[in-house]
Amino acid sequence: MSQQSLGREGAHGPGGGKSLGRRSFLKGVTAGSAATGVAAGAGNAAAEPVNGQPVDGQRAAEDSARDVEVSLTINGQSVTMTIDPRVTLVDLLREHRRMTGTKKGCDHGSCGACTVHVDGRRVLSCLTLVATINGAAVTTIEGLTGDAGPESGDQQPLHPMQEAFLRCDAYQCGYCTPGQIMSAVACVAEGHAEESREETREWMSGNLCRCSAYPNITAAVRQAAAVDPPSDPAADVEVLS
Amino acid sequence: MIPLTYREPGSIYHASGAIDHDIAMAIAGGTTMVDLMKLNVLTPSRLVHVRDILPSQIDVQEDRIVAGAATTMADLADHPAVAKRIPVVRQTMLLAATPQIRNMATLGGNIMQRTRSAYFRHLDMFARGPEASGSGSNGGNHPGQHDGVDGSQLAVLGNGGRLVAMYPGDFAVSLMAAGATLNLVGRDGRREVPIRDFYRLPGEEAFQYSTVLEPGDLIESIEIPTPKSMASSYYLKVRERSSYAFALVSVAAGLEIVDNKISGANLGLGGLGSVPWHSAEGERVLVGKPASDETFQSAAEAALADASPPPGAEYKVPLAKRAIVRALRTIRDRGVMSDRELFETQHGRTSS
Repeated sequence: MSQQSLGREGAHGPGGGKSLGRRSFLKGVTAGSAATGVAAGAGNAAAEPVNGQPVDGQRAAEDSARDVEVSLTINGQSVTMTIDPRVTLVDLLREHRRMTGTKKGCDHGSCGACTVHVDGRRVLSCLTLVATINGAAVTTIEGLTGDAGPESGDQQPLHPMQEAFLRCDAYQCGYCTPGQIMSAVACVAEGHAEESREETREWMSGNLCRCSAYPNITAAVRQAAAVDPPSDPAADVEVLS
Repeated sequence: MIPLTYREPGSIYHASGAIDHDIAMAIAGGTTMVDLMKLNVLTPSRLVHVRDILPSQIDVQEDRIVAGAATTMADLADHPAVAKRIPVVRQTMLLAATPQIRNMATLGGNIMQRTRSAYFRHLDMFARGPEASGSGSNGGNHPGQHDGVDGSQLAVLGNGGRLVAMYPGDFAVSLMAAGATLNLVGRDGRREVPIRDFYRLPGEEAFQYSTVLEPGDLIESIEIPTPKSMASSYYLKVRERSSYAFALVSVAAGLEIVDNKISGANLGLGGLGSVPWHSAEGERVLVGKPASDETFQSAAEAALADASPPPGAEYKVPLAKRAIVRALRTIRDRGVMSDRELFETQHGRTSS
């Protein structure tokens, strides 16, 4: 993307004008291409509705007649919206609510990148039609610490699991990390992280990591569950050269 | 996904009137429906949400466990009576899908899973629908007969000598072994169907199984009998990776052994049949015989006697026989496995 377009989108983005954190910066940059992303996200050709608004100014009456009204509590905040019944939770979060912490990986329930909590249980937001969870409480990575105000930006306090992931370097590219962390928090709450290492691995097996940071992810989960003491798994690596 | 209308009926009866399993489909957990709708493999123009109107409680009775169709896989697996009285059912859950999917998927939807065969899931493959089920121009040849095509999801049992898709699930295999009963609600009221009569082998023109469900029928609950043989039961799942994969071959087995003699046996097979497979032949060989390796081997031979593997899937026949013997020996020698032992066996390693 050119310098010019970066500047323009930055100015209109959520962090425009102020000191620009990494997260705000990325959101600003991606805002310009959101319309394309939403169209693809809803699963069909170009003229999908976005947040109840037409993309291209044209929308058949019969389409809007299919819309459903849904209320959710997202990270403690009540929202009521009118949406196409085909909208999945991951698309609602990312494209309609601009909460890009939840990642879309495979979009078919194979990778776990989109894991969020619905009524306290870890689920896949890509296979969840929003219409089917009317009235539910949704927690995303942004709401993990219970302090998810949009203005808090990069200064939010970290959840112990997030700290453990940092300490253990439990990622490389980071794309699966929000899903890993949401799954890990649930895994600990379920009591499955306290069992044997093999069981921890199994109960985290719904989250794939293409960088294969699995040993460090397992370490982070078990440290956050206080099964293992906090330590850097790489601390005792012997450098041979 | 094509445009659709969405309905939340107030009762099972309203739902029954609104679904036809074709253009008007029921959705509960959505884990298979949403996946296949995104692929445009399933194209309902009406979705009827039934999760909140179907029962989701688990009722423990003297000789059976009755689970509502909207019970999640996770909730059934976690029920103490299930783990104690019919551990194979818990094991089919723990070895299926992922914790997230098990929190979503319901029992009714689980047993209705569509095949995972690529020829069904991809619209550009020619064998997806009934119109393309081995009636090709060269005398019924199927893509499975060409080099480089994946036959791992094609049926080895119950295929009528044709190339048809394999049933992919785990839970139903244990239900076939146990001889469960499905309670259905339809437009003419309620009826019971033994699960062994629920699935229909793919017909002449079909690529995968169908069921006895009529338009308007919904599965309301599942009655799982808990005979003594199922108190010592085991699910052995062989797959290409050690977690989060569909079975190449699986065995749901239960044995009641008294004085080294088998007095009760249950045997179900997964990853092989066009439908979840009940091996009455294998059970007949087992009952009344000594619990010896030779008996187990004979049962395995009997269970696979009618196998007709498609090209590329021949390996599944010896794999299945060995899996049956191993599952039965495991029950005899180790008894019921803990979760930890189960996962370690699956992963092929132990850890602290």
